[in-house]
Amino acid sequence: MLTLFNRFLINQLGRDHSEYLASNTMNLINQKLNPFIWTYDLKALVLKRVSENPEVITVSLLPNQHWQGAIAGQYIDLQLLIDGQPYQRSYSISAISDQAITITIKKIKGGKVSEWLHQHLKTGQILDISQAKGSFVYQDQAKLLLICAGTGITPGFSIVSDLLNRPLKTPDIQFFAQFSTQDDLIFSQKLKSWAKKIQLRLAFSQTKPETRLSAANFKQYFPDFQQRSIYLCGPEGFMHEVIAILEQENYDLSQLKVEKFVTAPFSNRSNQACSSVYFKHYNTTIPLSAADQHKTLLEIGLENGLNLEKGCERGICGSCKLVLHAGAVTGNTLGQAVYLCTAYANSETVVLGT
Amino acid sequence: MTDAEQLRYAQIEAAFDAIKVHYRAQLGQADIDYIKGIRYKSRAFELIGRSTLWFGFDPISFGVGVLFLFLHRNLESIELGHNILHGQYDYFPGIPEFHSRNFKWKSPIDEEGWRREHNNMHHVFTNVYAKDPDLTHGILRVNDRLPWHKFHRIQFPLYLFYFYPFMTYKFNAQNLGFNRGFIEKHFPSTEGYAELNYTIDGGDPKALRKRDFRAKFRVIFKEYYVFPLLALVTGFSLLRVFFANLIVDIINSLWMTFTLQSSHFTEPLQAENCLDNKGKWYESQILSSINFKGRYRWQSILWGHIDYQIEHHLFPDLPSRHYPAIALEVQAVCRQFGIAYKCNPSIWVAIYKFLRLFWIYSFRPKASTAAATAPPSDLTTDISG
Repeated sequence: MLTLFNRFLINQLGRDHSEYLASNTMNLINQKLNPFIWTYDLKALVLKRVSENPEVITVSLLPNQHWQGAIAGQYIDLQLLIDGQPYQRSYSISAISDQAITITIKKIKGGKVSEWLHQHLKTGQILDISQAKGSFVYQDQAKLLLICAGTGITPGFSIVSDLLNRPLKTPDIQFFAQFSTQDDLIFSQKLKSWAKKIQLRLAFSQTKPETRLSAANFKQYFPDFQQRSIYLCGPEGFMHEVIAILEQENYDLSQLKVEKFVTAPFSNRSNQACSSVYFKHYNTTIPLSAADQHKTLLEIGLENGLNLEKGCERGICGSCKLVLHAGAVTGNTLGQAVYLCTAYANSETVVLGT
Repeated sequence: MTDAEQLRYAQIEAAFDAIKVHYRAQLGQADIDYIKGIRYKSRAFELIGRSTLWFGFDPISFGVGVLFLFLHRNLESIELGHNILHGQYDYFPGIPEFHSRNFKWKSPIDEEGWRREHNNMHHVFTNVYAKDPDLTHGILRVNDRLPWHKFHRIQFPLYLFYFYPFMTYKFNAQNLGFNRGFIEKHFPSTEGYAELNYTIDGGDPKALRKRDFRAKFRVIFKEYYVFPLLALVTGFSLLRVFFANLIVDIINSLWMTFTLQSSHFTEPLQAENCLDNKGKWYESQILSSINFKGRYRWQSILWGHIDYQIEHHLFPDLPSRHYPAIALEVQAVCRQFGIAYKCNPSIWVAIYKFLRLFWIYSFRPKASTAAATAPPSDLTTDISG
């Protein structure tokens, strides 16, 4: 019932109008009955769960009214509470419609989150998600080459689906996807239907080792790769191999876009330097250089083009105040409120929002 | 600035910072309970007010209904709305509905526009000529520095009988920059009219119009369509509910306008460089504001604690319930440094002074007698403890 109601609101009324309709009191009452729409956080409803193969599921999600939309190639973070412990994982969006998005989740041996999701995720469930992030998106290039491996296919798959759905002339696309065995192949139906529209090449590194991408067959596979913008996504080892080949061939690396999911754990730095600040309400991550370390959070935001509210810039008027969602800051703070104009980042990453 | 002045400002800064630190350390559950309590009261008043208007038929219940509905609208506009949008409750987790960026105001005013104009400009450059946009709200002329224009001749009746009764519906025009466009079009120059130091929605006129429409429509639809029609279809009087809501809206507008506006304009203009030094800024906030006296605690709540305008301007983002206690400490600091701490004996005196000023400055200044049009000194230096 509730699921139907929620879907009706998002689909018929739209996100913008749903948000406009809500008052503070409605939000408060509704949160107790229906923790999806009319809440203060971005959440998503699980609409459908499909098994691509025994190891991979594709999940269709309906984000609530706070969703700001996504571009093909971007990813979202899932925030989960498993046995009382908070976990966060990033998943590429494999398809985007007006209302819903789908993500593809591979079961990783010993992976707490992916195993939990495979076991427990069911339709009607409500998840905490982030806004779509990432700059692994199509930027009007004329010639593309997408190289992916494993579930790293999802962002590339999403970009190509989106391009093929556009009424305009599709750019020249070359798509390479490598899997270990035939059983690992995902999106096989869709990929088959693409065969006529783009130059598609599949490789299976274990069952057909000769098809595996290497320095030897790289030029043969992609004769005109020097003219193409390359999108690369897959496990870290695979990406390093490909980048090494490209460097050897003197490819212009500014034309290369990469997306990786598993980031190396941060080294324990004693001085608590900050590598990035994420402004949640603008959905913008700002990477920090060494020179930025001594700047206030307000300066960091404004220098990067965010339209942050500011007033006295002396920590008195409170105009610039935001709420700390994760990480640590020093300087002018009180409770969870941070006065950006007189506060500094003090942890590896800092998340600020409303 | 001489060394002596610099020392004095440093001492002033330290004194006020000490007060701020002291009260910030005290924030806690009591503040959460307070704001939730105000919300509960506001809901109860709404229930009483709307049901008496809906189901009653006699003039007495009409009066009671108007009173309670006004109490509801008033609490939502000032003690809740104005103070929450200052971020006075952003510190506390678990009450997202009282955080400044989540709050949905039950007034026809766009929240982001308000926050930017009111918090980021008016509260920083209070009474600074050509920098405080409230000083020239619309086309308002309340000091002799602003060049006189023929429109000012009718400002007194125009504001008193047309703008102020519907003032809550006029704030968007100021906060979203529509007023500025009017001045640019119809006035010989924008001299003296503060330029907004922010842009909302990238300055896209269509998006701004949409904001304006949405803020107003949510109130108009509820007050003038939904509740009157509910009364009609259940067999009660549409007109009774409609007019009661209209009266409440007008009282609410007048109440909010006079509370917010009559505690600055009668006070002297401040130097443009008031922000150069924090001690100096604190002083300018005191000199540009005037409190007024109420008798009971509940009056302060209905004024959104603006009767403690000085304390509010010194510490705009401390929860308002602390202002009465802070006032005693602020007065002590003012005595120590010889800063005039001003207080009107009542709201009526404050309104009278404001209206008088408003009348005086609607006339073209006579050449070489600019000083004569300045308000008499007895109107600006009413010091009381």
